[in-house]
Amino acid sequence: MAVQDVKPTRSELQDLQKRIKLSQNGYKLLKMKRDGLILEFFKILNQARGVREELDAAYANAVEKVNLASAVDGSFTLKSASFAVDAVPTIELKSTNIMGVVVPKIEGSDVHKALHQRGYGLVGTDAYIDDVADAYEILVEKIIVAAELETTMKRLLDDIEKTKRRVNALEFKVIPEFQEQVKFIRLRLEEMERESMSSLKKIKKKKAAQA
Amino acid sequence: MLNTQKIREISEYVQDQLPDSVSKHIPSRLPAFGKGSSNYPYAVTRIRAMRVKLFPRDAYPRFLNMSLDEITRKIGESEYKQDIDELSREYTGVNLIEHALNRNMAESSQKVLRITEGEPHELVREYLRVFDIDDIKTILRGKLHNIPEDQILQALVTGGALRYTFLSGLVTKNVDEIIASFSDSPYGPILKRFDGTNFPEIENELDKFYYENLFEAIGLPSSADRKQFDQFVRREIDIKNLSLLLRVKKYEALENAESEGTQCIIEDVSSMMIPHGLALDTDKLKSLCYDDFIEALRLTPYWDVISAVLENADLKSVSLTDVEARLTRFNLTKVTENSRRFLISIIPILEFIIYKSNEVRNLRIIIRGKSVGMDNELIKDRLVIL
Repeated sequence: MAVQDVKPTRSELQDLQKRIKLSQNGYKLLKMKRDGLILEFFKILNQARGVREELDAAYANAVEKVNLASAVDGSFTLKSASFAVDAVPTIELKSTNIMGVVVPKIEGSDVHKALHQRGYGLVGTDAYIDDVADAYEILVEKIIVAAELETTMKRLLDDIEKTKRRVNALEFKVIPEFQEQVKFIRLRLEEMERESMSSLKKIKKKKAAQA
Repeated sequence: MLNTQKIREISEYVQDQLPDSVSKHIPSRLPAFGKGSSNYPYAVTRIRAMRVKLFPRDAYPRFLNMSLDEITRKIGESEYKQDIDELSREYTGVNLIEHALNRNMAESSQKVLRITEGEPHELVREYLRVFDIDDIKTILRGKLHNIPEDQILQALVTGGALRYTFLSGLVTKNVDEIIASFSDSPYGPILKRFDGTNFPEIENELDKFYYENLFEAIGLPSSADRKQFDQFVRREIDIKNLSLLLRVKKYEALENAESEGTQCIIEDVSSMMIPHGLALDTDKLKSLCYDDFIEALRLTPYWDVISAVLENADLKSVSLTDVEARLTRFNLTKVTENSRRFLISIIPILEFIIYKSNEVRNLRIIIRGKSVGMDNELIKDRLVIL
């Protein structure tokens, strides 16, 4: 609201003062939330940095194993063994709350399977197939961890950005505008008071001259 | 007239009736007979002509120094030309080469089956049965897990006695119909045991059936050539059992190290062991823990082949693929040793099949390895140059 649009009344002044107090309280809380979120973000960033490196290494290892197996056993054998995988890993998605930000908690089941429970017979397969299965199980585990951490980071970053915008809006726009309006109303009220005082004095002088 | 199967059944019945003290002295298999007239001279001459067309052993080091395009061109100018030309509409790049290699190998196997008669035909058919078993497993795996039919068809090799038309017909059926299709075949009794949940066990049974059947088909090795074939199969059984035991023991040791336990996690390992091996006492080895197992391996003839990988190696870093590569090389080299001594016998025929499948294996390793930028040393390490 522009300063000119404000009604220069006492009730408006009281109302504005209440709003300034509320905004300042909100500003303090949001600033604390922003700082807290930044701290949480950096904590997760340190974990995520290691996880991303591990994920890259697990991916490179899985690709290497699959290349070796399809070279030695042939892609036909490898494809045939992959048909046999019956227990597909399942992902359970829960959520937790970090300072009001809802972040995912991802848990995988059936990711790491026992050697004899992978769906293929052990007699007709070899260590190349086992190595590929092992490497991809590790990769899926790393993907689950990385997905949880990176989604959490993304959500935290979004919320930090949002909170920062609110803090800045309160600090540089809302509160200064309210203060400007309060100043304007105060000046206006003082001026009105002075006007009424001078008119009262004039009336008093007129009455004294008539008497 | 009694056929071989009937004679075997009678023999097994008689052995069952005899007391153990007597039956242990009776050989577990009969001499192979009743297989009709053989055509060894004709078959071996044809096989020699086919053998000449294989890549010589010095071709592989040259391939290693070529670029992928050069290797592809070389293969495209060789025996594989027709297969590459015919498959080039469906596939491209490395997949085209691999499909062409497999198709050529399947056709060579079919040709060997066509040109042999009587005993060599029976032996080759039993030896190539491994392709049939692989294709049956692929179809059943695919059908059980709803894999699209075209993908299942693409994974078939058809190098055995079962023809592509029959196998592709199976792909359109459901699992029960597929099992019913084999009810009159030797696979019928095994496949009938499938209850919807035990497919890995059925796969193991099929693979064991292959070796047991081959062992039976060779019969009592009365001549030197049959002894060589017999030893090759029994050594292959040992190698299969040894790599399986190594995989199981390493897995159990790693799991136990994580949980600080000492128990055997895979209890049904006995059911996976293939009988009739050459020099490996699987009954003793299967009950040992990893360290004792490695110690016991020192006493076997395979230790010299694999000691470089297993000796003083940290459990986690032991590469079982290295062990398998060494054992495969060892067995293939052994069977081709002194093969010139047996000019008119099953050995030159078997040797051709081994050389052919090894050529396909080597070319695939080079092509696939080069296409993904694999290190030349690693590729060389996996090749078996006979």
